[in-house]
Amino acid sequence: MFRKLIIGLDWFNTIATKAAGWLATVLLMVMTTVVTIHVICRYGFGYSFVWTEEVARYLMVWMTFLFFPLGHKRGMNVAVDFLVVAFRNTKAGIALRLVLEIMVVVLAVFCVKISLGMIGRGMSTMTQALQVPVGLIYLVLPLSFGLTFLCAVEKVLELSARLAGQRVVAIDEETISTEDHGTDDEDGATLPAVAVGRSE
Amino acid sequence: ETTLNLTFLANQNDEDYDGAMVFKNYVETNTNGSVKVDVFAGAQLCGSAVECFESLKAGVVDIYNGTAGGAAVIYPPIQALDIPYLFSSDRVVMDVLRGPLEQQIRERVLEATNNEIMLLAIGQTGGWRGIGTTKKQVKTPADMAGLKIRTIESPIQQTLVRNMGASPTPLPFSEVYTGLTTGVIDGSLNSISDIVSANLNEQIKYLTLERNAYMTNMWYIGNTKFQSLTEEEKTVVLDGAHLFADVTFGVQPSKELAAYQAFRDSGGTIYIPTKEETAEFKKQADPVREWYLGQYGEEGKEFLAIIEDDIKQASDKIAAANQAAIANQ
Amino acid sequence: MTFLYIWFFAGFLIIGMPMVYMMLLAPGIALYLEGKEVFLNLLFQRLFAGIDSFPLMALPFFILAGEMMTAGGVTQRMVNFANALIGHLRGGLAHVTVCSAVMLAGGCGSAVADASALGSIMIPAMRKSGYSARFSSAVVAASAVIVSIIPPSGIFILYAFIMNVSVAAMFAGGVIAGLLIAIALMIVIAIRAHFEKMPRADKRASMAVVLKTGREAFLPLMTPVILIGGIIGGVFTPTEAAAIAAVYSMILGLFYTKEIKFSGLPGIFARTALSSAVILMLVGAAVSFASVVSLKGTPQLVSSFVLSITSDPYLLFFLINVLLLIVGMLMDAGPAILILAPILAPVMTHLGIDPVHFAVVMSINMIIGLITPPMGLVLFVISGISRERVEAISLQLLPFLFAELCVLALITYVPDLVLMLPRALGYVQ
Ligand code: NA
Ligand code: NA
Repeated sequence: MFRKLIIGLDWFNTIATKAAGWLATVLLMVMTTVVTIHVICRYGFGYSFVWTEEVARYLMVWMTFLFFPLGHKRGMNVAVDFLVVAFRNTKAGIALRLVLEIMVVVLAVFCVKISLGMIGRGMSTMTQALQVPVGLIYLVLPLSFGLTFLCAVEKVLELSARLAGQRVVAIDEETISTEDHGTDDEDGATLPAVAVGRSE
Repeated sequence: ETTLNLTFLANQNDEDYDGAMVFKNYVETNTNGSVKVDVFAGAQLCGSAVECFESLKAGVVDIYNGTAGGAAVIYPPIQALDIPYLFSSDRVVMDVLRGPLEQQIRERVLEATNNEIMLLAIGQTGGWRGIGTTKKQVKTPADMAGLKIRTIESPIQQTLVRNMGASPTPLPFSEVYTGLTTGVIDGSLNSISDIVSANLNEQIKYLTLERNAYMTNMWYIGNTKFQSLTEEEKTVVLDGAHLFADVTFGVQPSKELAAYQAFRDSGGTIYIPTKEETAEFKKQADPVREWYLGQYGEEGKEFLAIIEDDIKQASDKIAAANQAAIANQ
Repeated sequence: MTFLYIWFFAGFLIIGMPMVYMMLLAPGIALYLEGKEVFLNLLFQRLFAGIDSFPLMALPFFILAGEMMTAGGVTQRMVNFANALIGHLRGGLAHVTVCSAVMLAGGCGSAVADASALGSIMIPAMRKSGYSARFSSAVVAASAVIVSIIPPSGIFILYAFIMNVSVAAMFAGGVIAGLLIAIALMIVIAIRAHFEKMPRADKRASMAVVLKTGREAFLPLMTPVILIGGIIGGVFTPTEAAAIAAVYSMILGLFYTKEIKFSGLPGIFARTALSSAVILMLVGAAVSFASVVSLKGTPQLVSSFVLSITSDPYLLFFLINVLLLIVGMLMDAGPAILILAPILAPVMTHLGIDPVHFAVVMSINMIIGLITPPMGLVLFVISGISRERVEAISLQLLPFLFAELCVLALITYVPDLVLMLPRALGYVQ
């Protein structure tokens, strides 16, 4: 039952975070195009649009929040992880990670709650250039933190199972084969694509 | 005991700060300390008009100010105040902003924000906006042809600049200095205070004071917070806010003196258009009015009519008073 | 109560909570316990507003440019060209690594990204030629630092964003420092090559090879020329320049080097978007955190404390550099700048240090922190590529680190080295 729940959650989270990620990718493409076309129009034809900067900014915001849950799922968020690494694969280490994940769950719940309030208030505030309600732009917030919440819950369940001596490793192709780089198996923290993200 | 968090985006050198300190002192003294005012200058609590008005609604910020361009995010038709060449003199504009228009705006903003935001009082922040250019002096609208002029993300400014044959270029204020240096832009619509406080006078050499807009500054309070005050406290806050607004009317022109001096010292030339040239500039406002009326329909029409009526009454009143004073030898 | 949030912050830091959550949770819990729940809205609103910034957009665009350059085979071409030029020197491949980093730096903005690209090419090549794995790793790590210092630079963008300093001025300020570090590294390599009898290529590359590799590297080498020319010439702003650099690198990869296939583009954009999302969220969280820092009056407390120690700007600058080096050992450059710059910079500018000067020195200090153990991201990446332990690489890294610290000291006490170019370009007074 427990096992099925974890595998089911992983299945859903994998699909949902990836779908959000592809949408975010498309937004980055649009963002690049918008800014490039604006430069060409302005320098080449002396024509500027009112809305390019605003649109590009909100595209970037959406891109960020849409891809954030996948970042959490893959453990890409940088941390000072001496302790976690030092006690890796021991009961104490797993318990520590469990505590950390539970705090993320709590945070995510708060974030969803606050963002719903923001959406409500934001419906009567218009953006500067396009004059659309900013509440619509805030819609990405509960989506992002809701998904982050589910990913964190999945990790909480998985870590609890491990603490109880059961090992349920959900199948996820990106998280294999980093064992010998000295990070925990499912964190995948030293994959090149991941490493890029950690500092700049 | 209640605390009011007051914030504005300008720094401590701005007249907003002087006004805020007067407000703080007035309110804290006259409520015998039952209302405390904390002043946060600069973008400490929020960083843009959208964010600050959102914070006002959320109760994070209690008092915040907005120019007509900024307040457009909560009540778009307010941009009527930014229609170019609407106001003609300081005395008229001060009379209008202190008059019945205040209550008009208060009611409209309350309605637009579902009773969440209330206008306290209207002052000014920066005086008149002019046209600052780096290389070419602008004497008539025709001189604007081909120039790349920085505007805010406001359709009003964009329409005005485009209509003069220039190319409007929206840039964040923080990028204006570099933009002027490199030539991404040839000029900017700004007041003398903003030009000098951002060191733009190192690049901008010509300032044409055709007075396309007056930088009104509306101080708002979160209505939930306001309603939580007692009747007496409300009165003190309103009185304090009007004192605050009057301080900005007075302090800004005096601070402007130093800005003019700094502008001239760095080799800048100020140009005041002649009567004929001013008439040329005023014609440029027509397409902006059309845009405004098309955009905001009946409500916009009604609001603009109120403002114009107020302006006419104030102008007539002041003209009559002047006549009487001049006639009285 | 004033510092409650700092205690939470320290506690979470030690137990290994990811920074992005820590910067929201620590002040969040503190505010909650103090009964200021309304300020939780402030935290969250600032998170959104911190990301909602046009200048910050240069960051994803420069990451995109870097991804395009790597995928387009640009790194290999630059290495080939550098090898043809100086591969025949003793310790040739080590010199080649430094020069390649300088060439790459003009288009790429991230030391961490570059470390993986340069490392995966140079480390195997150097090992094949008889260099030790730990020495090769150390050379790549030390060189990667240059990529983040010579413009464009992601770290500089972060600093400019949080402190409202001109990005263009900071970029100009990093050029000489970056070149000085390259020279310093090459001096260390030359000395060690002489005493340790390091390998060299059998013979000097012929003129034909130099020309051929030069021609192949020419268009990629034009990236910085287009960037700088475009910014100085008023064609675009630094943010827009980043987008143009990305598009230019994409066109090169698609049609010139032909190493990028159209079918590969979605993957490149996806990697960029994911990396950017993680960093931008960190930026947003740092802005939230910073708002509580200033709400609590922490900067004033810190500055009055610091000024009670000394008000001599030179001594203070030294102390701050030492503090930052220690911070750099424990923390990543991005979050460190986002948290500390708003606290430290006002103190220094108050004492008359030029804001751009301090901005560049502090950023470079934190960039060097990317290769200082125990917490050094570049070091981790290199260790992943070379399979060499971080401690072993660190030992080999010491002389290079020393050289870089000498340059840091130099630019700290000779401000002109930083300010000369921005002044000449009219970006600072
Ligand atoms: Na670079
Ligand atoms: Na470090």
